[in-house]
Amino acid sequence: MISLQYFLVLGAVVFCIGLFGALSKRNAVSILMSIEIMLNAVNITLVAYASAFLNPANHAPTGTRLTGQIFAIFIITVAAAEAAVALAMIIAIYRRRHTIDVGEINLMRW
Amino acid sequence: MDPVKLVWLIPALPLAALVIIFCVTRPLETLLGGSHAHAAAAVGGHGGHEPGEPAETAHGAGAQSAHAQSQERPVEQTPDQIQASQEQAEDGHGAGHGGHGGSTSGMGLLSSVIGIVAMGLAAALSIAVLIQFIRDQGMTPPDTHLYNWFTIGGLKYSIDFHVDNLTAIMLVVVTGVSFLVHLYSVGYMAGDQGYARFFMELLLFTVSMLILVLAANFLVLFIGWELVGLSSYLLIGFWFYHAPPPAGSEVPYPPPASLKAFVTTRLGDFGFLIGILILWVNTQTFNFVALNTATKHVNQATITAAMILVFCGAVGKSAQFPLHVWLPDAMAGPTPVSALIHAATMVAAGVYLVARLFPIYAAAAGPQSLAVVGYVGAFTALFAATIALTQNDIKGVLAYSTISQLGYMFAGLSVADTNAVGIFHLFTHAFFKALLFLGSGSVIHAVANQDMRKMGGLAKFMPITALTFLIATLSISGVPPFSGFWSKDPIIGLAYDHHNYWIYGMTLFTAFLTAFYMFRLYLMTFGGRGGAYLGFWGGRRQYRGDGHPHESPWVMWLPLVVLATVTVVIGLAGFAGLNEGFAKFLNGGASVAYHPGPALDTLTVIGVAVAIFGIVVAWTAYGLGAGWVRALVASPIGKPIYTLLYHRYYLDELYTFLIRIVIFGLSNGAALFDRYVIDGIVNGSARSVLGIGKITRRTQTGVLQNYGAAIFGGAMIILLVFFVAVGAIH
Repeated sequence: MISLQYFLVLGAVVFCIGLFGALSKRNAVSILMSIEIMLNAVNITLVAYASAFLNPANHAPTGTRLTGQIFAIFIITVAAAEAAVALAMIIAIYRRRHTIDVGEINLMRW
Repeated sequence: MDPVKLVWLIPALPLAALVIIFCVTRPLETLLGGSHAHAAAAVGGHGGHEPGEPAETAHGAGAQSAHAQSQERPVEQTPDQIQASQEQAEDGHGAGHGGHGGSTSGMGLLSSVIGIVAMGLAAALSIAVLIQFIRDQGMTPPDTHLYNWFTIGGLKYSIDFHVDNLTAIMLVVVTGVSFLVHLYSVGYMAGDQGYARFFMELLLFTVSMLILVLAANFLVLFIGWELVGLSSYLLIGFWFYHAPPPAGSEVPYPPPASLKAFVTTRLGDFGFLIGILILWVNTQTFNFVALNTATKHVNQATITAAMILVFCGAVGKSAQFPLHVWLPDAMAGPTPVSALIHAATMVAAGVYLVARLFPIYAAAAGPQSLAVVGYVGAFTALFAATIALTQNDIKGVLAYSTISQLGYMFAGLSVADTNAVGIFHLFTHAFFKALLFLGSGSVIHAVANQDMRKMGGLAKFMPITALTFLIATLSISGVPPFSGFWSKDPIIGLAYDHHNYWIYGMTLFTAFLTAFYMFRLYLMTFGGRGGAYLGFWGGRRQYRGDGHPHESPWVMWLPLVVLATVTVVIGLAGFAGLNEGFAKFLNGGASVAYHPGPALDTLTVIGVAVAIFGIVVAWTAYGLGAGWVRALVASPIGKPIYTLLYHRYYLDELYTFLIRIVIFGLSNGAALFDRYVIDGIVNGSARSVLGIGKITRRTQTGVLQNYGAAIFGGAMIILLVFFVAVGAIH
C-alpha cells in the first residue's frame, strides 16, 4: 500500500504548481485553471487523509472516516460553480476590454 | 436703634436706587422719551460741541445765543469734526452734553431724584454711625457676616463687613461727597443724552466704593477695588461718542483715556494680588484683624515684600509715580466724576488701603515698607506739582494737584506713628478737592471751555463759585485757618521731626509749588491784572473768552457752598484740637504719640511762610501782571525746563516707546516662535505623514496577484513561526 506521505507530497507539489500558475500567469483563463489545480491539490490531500483514516490502526475519531470524501465532493461542486461564475466574468471583461490579460485590467492600480 | 447694626444698609441703599433706575425709570425714559430726545437734539444739537468739552450753556441764554456762541467760537475745529458732530446731532444721537439746560426728561429727573434720595439716606446713616463711634471710641463691633462665598477644606471664604473708626470716617467721606456730587450732577448733566445712565454709573461707583471701605477681608476689598476700577472706566468713557479733540489739545479723549485708566491700574493690581496671596500663604487668612496678629509670627522679610507688593496696588489706584499717567487722562470724564472718583474717593482708596493695613506696615513689616511708601509719596508730590505749574487745562492742573496731594497722604502715613496723619489729609482733601473740581465744573459749565487762557475775571460773573473756589484754593495751599493747613502741616512737620529730611525737603518745596500753581489757576480763572482787590476779583475786562458767563443754577452752587462750609468748619475746629482728637479717635480712643514735637512751632511758621511766598509769587505774575514768567519761559534755561514740564516729562511718550519695544518685541518674538516652532511642528508632522504615505503607497499595486503572493507569503511566515514555536522545527 502507498503510504500517506506520498499523497501529501503529491498534493503539495500540485498545489505549488497551481499557486505558481495563479500568481504568475497573465491570462485570466490560465489563472482560473491554476486555481482549479490548487483546489484539486487540496482534494488529493483530503481524499488521502480519508483513505488513511479507513485503516483502524490510525485510530481516527468516530464519525470522521468519510468527512474527507464528502469535503472533496463539496469542493468539486464549488469549483464547478466558481468556474462558471469566473468564466462568465472573464467573458464579460473580454467583451468590454477585448483582452483577458490581467496586466491590462488595471482599474485598481494607483 | 443702633445705626452700627444697620451699616449694611449704606451700600444697599444706592444699590437699590441703581436697580430701580435700571429696571424701571431708565427703560420708561427710553420708551416715553424717544421723540422728546429727538426734538431736543434738533433744538440743541446745532453747534458742533467741542469734543471733551462739556456744557455749552443755553441756560438762560436761549438757543439763539448758544448758536451765536458756537459760531463765534472757531476753536481749533477742523471742518470734518464740525461736520461729524452735526451729523451726530441730526440723527438724534448727538444731543451731546448741555446745550439746553431744561431739557432733562421727566423720567430722567426721576432717576436722579431716586439716586439723590438714596444717597442722602446713606449719608445720613453714615453720619449716625460716625456719631455713634465718636460717642464710644473704644467700640469694636463684630464683623457683619453676610454669607459664605465658598469653603474649600477648612478654609472659609466669607463676605464680611467690618466697621471701625476708620471705616466710619471713610463712610462719611464717600457718602457725603457722593451725595453732593449727585445733587450737582442734576445741574451739570442736565439735558445730556446719557442722563440716567450717568446716575446709574455714579451709583454703581458709590456702591463699589462702600464695599471697598466696609470690607473685613482682602477678598471683599479686592471685589470693591476692581468694581471701582470698572465704574471709573465706565465714567471716564462716559462721553465715548464724542469726536476726538484736535491734535495738540490738552483735553484728553474719553475712549482711550478710559482704557488707559483701566489698564494702568491693573498693572498695580497685579502686584497687589501677589501681595495678598503671599500674606494668605503665610497666615491662612484674609481677615484684616486676624492678619494684624498673624503676621507677627511670620518672617519679617516676607511680610515686608508682601506689603510693598500690596502698596503697588495703592500706587496704581492712587496714581502715584510711575503709574500716575492715567489720572490726568481720566479728566476726560464729566467733571462731577472727576470730583467724586478722581479726586475725593476712589483715588484715595490706595491711601485707605495703606491706612487699613497700617498696623502690619508699622509692626509686622520691616521699616523698608513704610520708607518705600513715604519716598514714593513725597517724590510723587513734588513730581506732580512741577507738572501742574505749566498745564493750561483747568482740570489738568487739578488732576496733577490731586496726584500731588495723594503723595502727601502717603508721605503722611510713612512719617507718623499713626495712620491718622495721612487719613486726616485724605479727609480734608476729599472735601476741598471735590470743591475745587465742582467749582471748575461750574466754570466749564459757564464758559464752555476748559482752557484757562480763555478764562479770567470770572469772579464778577460767578461770585459764589469764585468765593468757594478761593476758600478751597487757600485750603489746599495750606493757609490757616482752612482745613488743608491742619492736615498738611503735620505731614511736613512730622517728616522733619522723625528725621526724614528728604521727605521734609520734598514736601516743603511741594507746598510752595502747590500754593503757586493753585493761585496761578485761581488768578487765571477768576482774577487777572487790574481786577478788584489786587487782581483777585476780576470782571469783564479780565475775561479773555467769548460769550456771557453766568452763575450756575442752585443745584450746582449749593454743593459748593456746603463743601466750602465743611472746609471752613474743619479749619476752625482745628484750633480746638481737631487734629489730636482725630488721631485719638482713629486709634480707638487711646491717646497716641501724635503730639507735635517742640520744633513743630517753628516748622509751622516755615510751612505757612512758604505757602504765602508761593501765593505772592503767583500773584506777582498773574494778579499784578509782572512779566517774569514770560521772560523765564523764554530764557534759554527756562525754555527747556518749561517744555519738559509742559509735556509732563515726556512720560507718556516714554511709556509708549517702552510698550513699543517691550510689548511689541515680546509679541513679535512670540509670533516668530509660533510661526516657526509651533507651526513647524504641526506642518512637519503633516509633511512626514505625507512622505511616509508616498513611499508606502507603492505596496498597494492594485495587482491582485501581488496581493495573493503577499497573503501566501504571510501565511508561510506565520506557519514557520508557529512551527518554530511548537518545536516542530529546530
